[in-house]
Amino acid sequence: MRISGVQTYSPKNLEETLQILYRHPLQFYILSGGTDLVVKMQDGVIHPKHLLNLSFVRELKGFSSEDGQIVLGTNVTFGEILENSLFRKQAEPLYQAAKCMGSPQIRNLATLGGNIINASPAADSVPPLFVLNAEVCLESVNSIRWVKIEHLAAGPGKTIRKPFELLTKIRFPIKPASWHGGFLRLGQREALAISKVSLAYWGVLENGVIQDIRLALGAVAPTVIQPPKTEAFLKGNTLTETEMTRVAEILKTEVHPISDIRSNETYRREMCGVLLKRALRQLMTQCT
Amino acid sequence: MIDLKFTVNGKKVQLRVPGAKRLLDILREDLGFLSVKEGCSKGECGVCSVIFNGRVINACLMLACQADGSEITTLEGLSKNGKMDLLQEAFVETGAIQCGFCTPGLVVASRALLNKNPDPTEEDIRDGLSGNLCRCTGYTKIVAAVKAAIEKESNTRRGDS
Amino acid sequence: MNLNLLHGVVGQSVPRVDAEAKVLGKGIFIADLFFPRMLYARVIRSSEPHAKITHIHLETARLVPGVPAILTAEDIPGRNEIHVVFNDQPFLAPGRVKYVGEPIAVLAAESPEIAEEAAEKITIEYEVLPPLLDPLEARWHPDIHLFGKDNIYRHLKVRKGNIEDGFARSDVTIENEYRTPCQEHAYLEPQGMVAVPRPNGLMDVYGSMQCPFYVQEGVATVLGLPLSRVRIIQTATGGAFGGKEDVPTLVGVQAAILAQKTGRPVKLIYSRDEDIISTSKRHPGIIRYKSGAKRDGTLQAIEVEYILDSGAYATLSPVVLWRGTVHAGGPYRIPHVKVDSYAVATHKVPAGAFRGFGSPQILFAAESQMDELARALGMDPCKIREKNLLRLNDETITGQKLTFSVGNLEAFQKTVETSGYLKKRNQKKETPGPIKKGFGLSSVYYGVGLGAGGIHLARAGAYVQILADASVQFAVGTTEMGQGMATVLTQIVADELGLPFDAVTILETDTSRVPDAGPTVASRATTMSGNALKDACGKLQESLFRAAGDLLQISKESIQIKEGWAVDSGKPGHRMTLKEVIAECFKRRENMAAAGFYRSPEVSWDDETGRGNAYITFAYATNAAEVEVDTETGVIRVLKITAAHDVGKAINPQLVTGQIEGGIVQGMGYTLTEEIVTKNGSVQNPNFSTYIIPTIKEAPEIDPLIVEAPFPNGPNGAKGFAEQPLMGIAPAIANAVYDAIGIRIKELPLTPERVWAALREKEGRDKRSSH
Repeated sequence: MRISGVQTYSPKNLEETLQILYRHPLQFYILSGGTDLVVKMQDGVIHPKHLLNLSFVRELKGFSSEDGQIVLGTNVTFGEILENSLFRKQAEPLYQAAKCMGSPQIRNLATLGGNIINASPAADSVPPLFVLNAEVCLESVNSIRWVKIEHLAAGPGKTIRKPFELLTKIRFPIKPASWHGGFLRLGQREALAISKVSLAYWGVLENGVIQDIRLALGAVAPTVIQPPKTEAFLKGNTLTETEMTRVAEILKTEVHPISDIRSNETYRREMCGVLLKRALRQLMTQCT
Repeated sequence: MIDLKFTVNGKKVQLRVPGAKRLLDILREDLGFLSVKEGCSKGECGVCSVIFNGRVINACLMLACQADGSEITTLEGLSKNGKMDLLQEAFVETGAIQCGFCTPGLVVASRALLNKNPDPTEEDIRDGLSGNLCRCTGYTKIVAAVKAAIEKESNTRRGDS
Repeated sequence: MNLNLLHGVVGQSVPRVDAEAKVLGKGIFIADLFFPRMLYARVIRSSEPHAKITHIHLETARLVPGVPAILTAEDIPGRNEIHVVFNDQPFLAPGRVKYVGEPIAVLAAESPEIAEEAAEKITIEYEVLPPLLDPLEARWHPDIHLFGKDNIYRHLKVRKGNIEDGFARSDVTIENEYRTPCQEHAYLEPQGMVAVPRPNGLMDVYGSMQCPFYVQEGVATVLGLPLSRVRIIQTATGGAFGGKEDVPTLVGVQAAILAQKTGRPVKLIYSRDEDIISTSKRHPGIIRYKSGAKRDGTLQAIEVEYILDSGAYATLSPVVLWRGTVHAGGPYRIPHVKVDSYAVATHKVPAGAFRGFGSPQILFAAESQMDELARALGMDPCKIREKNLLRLNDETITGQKLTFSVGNLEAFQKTVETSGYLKKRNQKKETPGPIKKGFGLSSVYYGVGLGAGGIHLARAGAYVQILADASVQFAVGTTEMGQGMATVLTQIVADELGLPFDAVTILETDTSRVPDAGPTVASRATTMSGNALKDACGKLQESLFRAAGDLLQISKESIQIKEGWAVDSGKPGHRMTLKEVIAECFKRRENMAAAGFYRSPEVSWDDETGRGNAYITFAYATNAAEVEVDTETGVIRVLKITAAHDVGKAINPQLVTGQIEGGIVQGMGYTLTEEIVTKNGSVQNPNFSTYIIPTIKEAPEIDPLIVEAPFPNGPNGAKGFAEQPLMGIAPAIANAVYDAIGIRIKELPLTPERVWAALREKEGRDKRSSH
C-alpha cells in the first residue's frame, strides 16, 4: 500500500531534533532505519502524519571506545557493527546477534537504536545488550538520563521513554579479558527470520567453575528477560552434564512463552533449555 | 515535499518529491530505473535491492528523505557502455536466470558483496545473498554464477597487472 | 526421422534467449508497462468466509476526486462468470461471498494513492453465515451446501483387479493416514495486468500469465464481447508454477472491465499480501492409504481414499483430483487397486494448479508407504522399489500399457549409484551427539501433458516465417514463464530449418498470432508447441529442399541442412549457404511463412472403472535425500539431493538441470516449512516474513542427473517433465528422516516443532517399553 500525506522533517543536529520532539511530542513518529516503521506504514497499521527522520543527525552516528565503555550512536546500523572488529572482539554476543539478523539488506538499514526502542520481545540485539550490562541514553531538550537496558521495555512495543525523549546513545563496559559470550537462536529458517527463541550469554569460567554469568532470552516472554534463578544456580557451579540438565529445568520455569504463527509455547520453553546447554558448552570451550 | 538531491548511477539528480515517497517508487516512476522491482514491500524478498552508499539495501524500505545526498547504484549502473558487468555475463552463462524477476536484485547484491570482499568463500556468498529470494532456480546456479564471476574478475585483475 | 536434418543446437546448453533482457533488468514485466492516461485499479474483497452481502456503501468512495469508475456485480455487461472447468465461479460476488478475499467490487483511479484512498472508503455490510472450513465436515454436510448436495466437486474411482484378493494374498499390509499442507506458489512477481481499450470496441490485455487463451475467454464472457475483439499479450512472466494458470483470468477481467467502462488503459498489480490471500494454492490433502505386499516385496494391492480441500469454487480441482488419482500408485506394478478420491468444497480461497497438480500430496503417502512396507518386510527401501518399478510393457494402475520411453529403472539405478545411497546407508555409524544422519529415496512418475482429463485442449498452433535475410520469426500459443520454453523452441526451430540459433527469434505470445494452443501447464509446452513448430517448419523445408536441389543440381532427397548450409549428403564438400537458397526461394515467390498445428495422440478414460490410457507418455525420476536431524531441536537440514530424471531428450541440458534444481528446492520448502495457515478461513501468513520459503542458506547441494529414453511422439524425443522435480522431494526427505531417527511423520511440513514432539513421544514410548 502506498504511503501518502506524510510530512517529513530531517534535522541535521541533535539540538534541532530534540526541539522538534519537545514542541510536538505526540505528533511525530521517529524514523531511524525504517525497517519496521516503513513496513507498518505500508501495511496501514500506523498512519503517521509527521515523520522525524534521524538519518542526518550527526550526533547519532558512529561509535567510540572511551573511559572503559563502548558508546554507540542510536543510528549505528547492524551492517556497521559487523564491519568493525571492535565488536567481534569486545562484544561477541552483540556481534553474533547482528550476524543472524534479517539479511544484508536489512542489516544495512536497521539501526541498533531502532531495534531497541521497538521493544519487540524477539529483537535480536536486546538479549546481548542485557548480558553486556548496557545502558541507553534518553535525552530531551532539558533532561538526560541513562537507563539500564533491562528497565527500558515495559511490554511488547512499550518502553518507559517519554514522548519528548529520544534514545540517543547505547553504552556498555569494555570486556574484561577473561569474559566470553555469544548468541544462539532458533528461527524458521537460517536467514530472513524472526527468532522463535534466542539466548545471549556472557560469563567467565575458571578451572571449570563458573565465576560469573549473565543470561538473557528473547521471544519467550512479553519482553526480553533475564533468568535470575538460573544465573544464581550457575554461579560457582561446575558444568557437569547432570548440573546442566538441572539448570535447564530451572530455566524452563523462568520463561513464559506463547504460541503464535512462528512456534508454540511448549517448544519454545523446551528450546530454552537446549540453547542454555549449548551456550554453556560453548562457554567452556571459549574459556579454555 | 522535499528537494531530493542525490547521485544515481553516477549522475547527479535533483527532484521535488514527497519526503515519505519510497526510494523504490522514485527510482522506478520518477527516474525510470525499471530493474528495481517490487515483490513484497517488506524487505523480505530483495528484488528491489540497490547499492546505497556502498551497501546493499531494500529500496522498498527507504524513504526519499533518507536518501538525500546519497550515492545509489541500480542494476542499470553496472553495465558500462552496453558492456555487461562480469557478474551479468556469469549469470547468463551459468544458467542462473529463469523467470528473471529476482535477477536484478541478485546481481546487485552480488556486486555489493564482491565490492567489499573480492574473494568470498561459499559461505560468504550464501550469507551475502541471503536477502534475495529466488523461487525458480534452487540457487545452485546462482552460487555457481558468483563463483564464475569471481574467477573472471581475478583473471582480469591478473591480466591488468 | 528426416535424414535431411543434421542436428546442431538441440542437445546443447545454449544460453537462454531471454537472458540478456533479464540480466540487464529491461522493463519487460507487467509492472514496467506504462500507457498515457493510464488508471490504477483496486479490488475490494470479502472479509468473511461465508456471508450474505446486505449492503455495499459506495457513496463516500465516489466522492473521492479522481475515481472514474467503481463497479460491482450489477455493472457487468456480459455474464458474471469465470469458466474454468465448471461455471460455478462468479467474477464479482453477486450478493453472497464464499471465501475471505473474494472480489466484490473493482475501482479505477488516477493514481495508486487515490485508488487506495477510495478503496478504504468502501464499506460492506454482511449477514454472516456459518462457514465450512474442514473438508471432512463439508463432505456430505446435511445443511450447508456450497456445491451440489454433497459439497463434492468430483468423485473419482480407480478399480483394478480384486482388492479383497489383493490383500488376502499379501503377507504384510500397512495402513496410514497422511496429511499435506496448503502451499503458496510464491512466484516472485505478483499477479498483474494492464488492459488497453482500442478503437472499434477492441480490448487488448497485457500481463503475467500462463494461459492467454483462458484470459481471452474470461474477458470476452464478462465484458460481453466476441472473442475476436479480445487480444491477450503475455508479458515476461516472473514465475508461475501453476499460480498463473486460472487466476490471471480474474486479474485480466478486473482490469479490462474498468478499461471498458472508462475508455482508458487500466493497470492492476496485486500487492504481495493481496496475492497470497486471494489467489489459488496447492490443495491440502488427506490421504488414507493401505498397501499390501508379499514376503518377497512384490506389491499386491493398494486401497486409497484421497480428499482434496478445494475451497469455495471448483476452478481446476476436478482435473487436479484426476491427475492425483491416476498417480496414486506411484511408478510401480500393482495388480489390485481401489482408489476413491474427492474434491471437496470449503469456504476457503479456491485451491488450484501447482507444480505436480494433485500428485505431490498422494505421492508423499505412496512413497512413505513403500518405506513402511520395506521396514515391515526387513528389506532395504531400495530393494522393494527396484523389485516393483514399472518396466517396458508393464501396466499402470489405470491399465495403461507402457510400450515405449520407460526410463524408470534407469533413472532409479542412476540415482542409487551416483548418490552412493547403499554404501552410505549401510556404513552409517551411530554418532554420539544430537545430530543424526539419514538417507532416503523416492521414485515418482509424471503423466506428460493434459492427458485424458483435458484431451479437448490437447492441441497447439504455431507460426513460422523465414525472412529475406535468412532470419526467422516464430510464434506459439504456449508461454514462457521462466521454465525455458522460448529457448528450447528456438533450438528446435533453428535445427529444423538448418539455421544458426541466433538467426531465430521467438515473438511474444499473443492470442492474435496463432490458434488457441490450450494452457501452458502439465509440462506440455515443449512437446505440444515443439511438434506444432515441426509441422510448420516441415512446410518451409519443402521449399528449401526444392530450391537447394535445383541450385546444387541434385535431387532434393540428397539435401541436408545444417547451421546455415545446404549440403549434398553424398558429397559433403558440395554445398551452398542457406542464405543463397532462401534468396532463391524469395526470387521464386515461394510462401516462406507457414502455420503449424499439432494434436496430441488419443488417450482414454472411463469414469466408472477408472481405467484407460491416461497419458501420451510418462516421465520418471528417483530422488535420494541426505539429511541431518538435530534431535534436541527437531531441526532438519537437507544436505544433498541426487535426482535422475528421464526426460526423453534433453534439448537443453542446462535448462533441464535448472528445472531439477528449482523443483527440488520448492519441494524442500513444501516438506520443511511452507504452510498457509488460516483462521476462520482467513490467511494468517500472507507475506514472506511468515510464509517461509527457502533462502540460499538452506538450499542443499544438488546433483541433477539426466536420463534419456526417447519419446517417439516428442520433438527430438523430448517429453515434458518440469513438474516432476518437486513431486517426490517430500517423501525422499521424510524417508531420510525416518532413517535418521526412526520416526515416521505423516503430516507435512516437517517443522522442528512437529519433529521434536514426535521425538518426545517416541522417547516416552521407548521408556515405557523398557520398564
